Amino acid sequence: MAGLICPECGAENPDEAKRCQECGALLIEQSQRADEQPAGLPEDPLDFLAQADDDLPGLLHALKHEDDQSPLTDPPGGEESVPPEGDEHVDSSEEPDAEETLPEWLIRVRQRAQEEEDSVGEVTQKLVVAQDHLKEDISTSRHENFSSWIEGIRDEDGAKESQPAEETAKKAETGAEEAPSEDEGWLTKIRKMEGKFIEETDSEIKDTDGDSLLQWLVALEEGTEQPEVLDEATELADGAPVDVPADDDEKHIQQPESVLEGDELEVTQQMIVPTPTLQAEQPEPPLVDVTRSEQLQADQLAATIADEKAARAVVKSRKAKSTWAIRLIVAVVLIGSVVFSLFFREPAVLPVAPMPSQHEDMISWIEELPADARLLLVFDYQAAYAAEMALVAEPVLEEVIHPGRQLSVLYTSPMGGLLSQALLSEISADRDVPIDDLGYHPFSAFTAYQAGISAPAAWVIPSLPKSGRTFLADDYEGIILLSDTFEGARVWIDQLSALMPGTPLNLILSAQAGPMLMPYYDSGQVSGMISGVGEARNFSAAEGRSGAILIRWRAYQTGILLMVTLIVTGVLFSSGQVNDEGEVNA
Amino acid sequence: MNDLIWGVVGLLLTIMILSYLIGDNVFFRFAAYIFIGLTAGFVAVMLINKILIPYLVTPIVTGGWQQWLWMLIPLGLILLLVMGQWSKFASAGSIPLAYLAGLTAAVAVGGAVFGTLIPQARAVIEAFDPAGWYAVPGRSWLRVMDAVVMLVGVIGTLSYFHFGKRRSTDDAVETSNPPRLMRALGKVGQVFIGITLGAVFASVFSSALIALIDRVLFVGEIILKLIGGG
Repeated sequence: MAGLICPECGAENPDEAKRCQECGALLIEQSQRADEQPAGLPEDPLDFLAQADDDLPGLLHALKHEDDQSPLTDPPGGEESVPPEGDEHVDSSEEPDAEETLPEWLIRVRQRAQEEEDSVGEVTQKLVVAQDHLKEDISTSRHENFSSWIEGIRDEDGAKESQPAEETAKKAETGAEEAPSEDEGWLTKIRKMEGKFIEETDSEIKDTDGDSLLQWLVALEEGTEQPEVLDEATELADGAPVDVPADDDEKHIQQPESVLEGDELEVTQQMIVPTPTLQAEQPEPPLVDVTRSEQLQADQLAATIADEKAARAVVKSRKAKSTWAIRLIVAVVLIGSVVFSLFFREPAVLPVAPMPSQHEDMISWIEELPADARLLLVFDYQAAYAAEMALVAEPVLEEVIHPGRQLSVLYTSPMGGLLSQALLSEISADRDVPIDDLGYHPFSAFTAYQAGISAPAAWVIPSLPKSGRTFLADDYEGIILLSDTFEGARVWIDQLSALMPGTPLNLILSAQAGPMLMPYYDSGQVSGMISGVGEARNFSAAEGRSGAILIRWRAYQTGILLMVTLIVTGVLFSSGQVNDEGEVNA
Repeated sequence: MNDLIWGVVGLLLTIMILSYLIGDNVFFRFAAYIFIGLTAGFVAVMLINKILIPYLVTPIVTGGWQQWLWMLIPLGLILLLVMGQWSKFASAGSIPLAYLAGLTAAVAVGGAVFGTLIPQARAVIEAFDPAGWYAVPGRSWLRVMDAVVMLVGVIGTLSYFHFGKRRSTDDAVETSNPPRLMRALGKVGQVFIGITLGAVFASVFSSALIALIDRVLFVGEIILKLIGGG
């Protein structure tokens, strides 16, 4: 063959070239090496690739050596690596290098394989393809042969257990007998590194699609295929005709590209190679013993699958009715009733009703407050509840806010500042009551906790900033919490009742927060409470006050009546619908 | 005049929100977006004015070196939280969050135990104190009944939220149903829970109705002002 092939880029160069015309790599060493090739090796510089293709035992040896050097796997039994007998035909000049480092030709082949697909020999390409097939087969064969995999593990364990110790010791004594077992070890490692578990015996190799080339290499290394191939190769070397099987599905003829030189053998014509489509016998699914929990899981899975496949009664999809007209009618009726009650009827006259104990306790606490009492107001409600909270709080704060008393205000909602100003400005407009704004505190739990530990008995760090140290340094005669939710109020009750049990805590609540907080009043953690417009009405009547609540009371009554009617109608209507659908489904 | 202008703006926004009665529409969305944007901006300004300036900036500007040292703690936490916004330093942001979560858990658990669990349990026990039954003459049987109902309600509610299962004796597989006694008490607890949630549900309606009444009153007053009758 004319020209030199650059080992770096693969470009073809003239014979007399010292450097590659493409990449400038040095070619002298290669040409000198080609000149120094021993007799019998091809003269063509490309023949080292062909040698790589046909030097299959050397390739296997290199793979084995690579495996032995892999840190992921340990050498079998920690034994020393003994060259197998099957490698005796390899050139002895290459053997020491193969034992310690990868052959140069293999490195170059791999480099070329990474750079150009066409630059490597067919065997190397097929080796790569076979490895890819092995990886692809992992996902399928792993699940399909799951049963055989379990059986394989058990067989392997059983074989290990039943293997006589004498036999193992006997194998360890002689290197000739040790080599094959070592080969089995490193070949198994190769397979395991490929992620595929292959059940095999000494005389049988079970093949699957895609990995037959590698297994043929294994068989060649183990000697099971060697006699047939070598015999045919010998016949080819002698010029004898080769018996080509008629069944091309099982074997095909591959043109030789190199000379395989061993101690006694030289192949020059053809080599018959088993095709990757060689099919092995599929293992019969064995009986698998499973634990009870595994059986239960399998039964549950089977029941789920059966339930999914079970026939079900088809429910006719009902056309979604447009309800906007109904909603509009209801809204018009509700708003119309409210408007009529607000603007076309006289304000209600509130009769004095018997007061619950929580109201009486709150009134008693207000009446016992000193004239110069210091009070803390906590605003813990959102703007959406401002109307209700104003109605409920107004009669209480009217009694609390008097000249001479001092109020401190803090809020835990962003709108709390505006809401407190809107509420207190109306009440304290004509009263000289100083109001100290303690500001916005985002987290109710932290604020309540800080309020509790800021009592005079708490420890103090003098160097702390004043804003953090004296959050609630004063001793208040009482705390009034205005809250619209159960959770927000409960946080304050939790902290203050535990940290400041001597400070009276009174609650002004929305209607939705009241029912859940009654136990705290019953347990004595809360001094008094009032929740919702209904209780505020009783409170106003008991105090003889007439305010905004009187204007809204009739509308409130009308709205409640309408809502109850709507709820009852809706329940009856929906229950009739359910019955109809139930009959349809049945 | 100023109040009237803002009153009209409020009237329009109220009508836009009420237009949701006939379904989702562009006017409702417009009003909702305005509220969301205004709320976000207001909260941001509130946090700066009420939190950052008084609790962080002012101590640094006006405080001594000791306060400076104290302020290094929140400054460090803020710096870590900001660094956590970059993926490269994402783990740094978890430090202040872990500090916040741990502190919140400690405060909440302490409050729940000493503010709710122990006092409420003590209240249930004290309800059976005979001295309390006869402290106020008359209708002592009513207080006894009250204590009994309270005890049954507590046990029933706790049983309803009992999710344990009986372990069979032959193997480790759990049976599907809780013990029969727990199931019976859970049924009783369901009654109490249903009554409580029904009361809360009615109260939510009451709160919503008050909000509606307030808005209708506001709209009516504005309209009366506009037509000169108010």
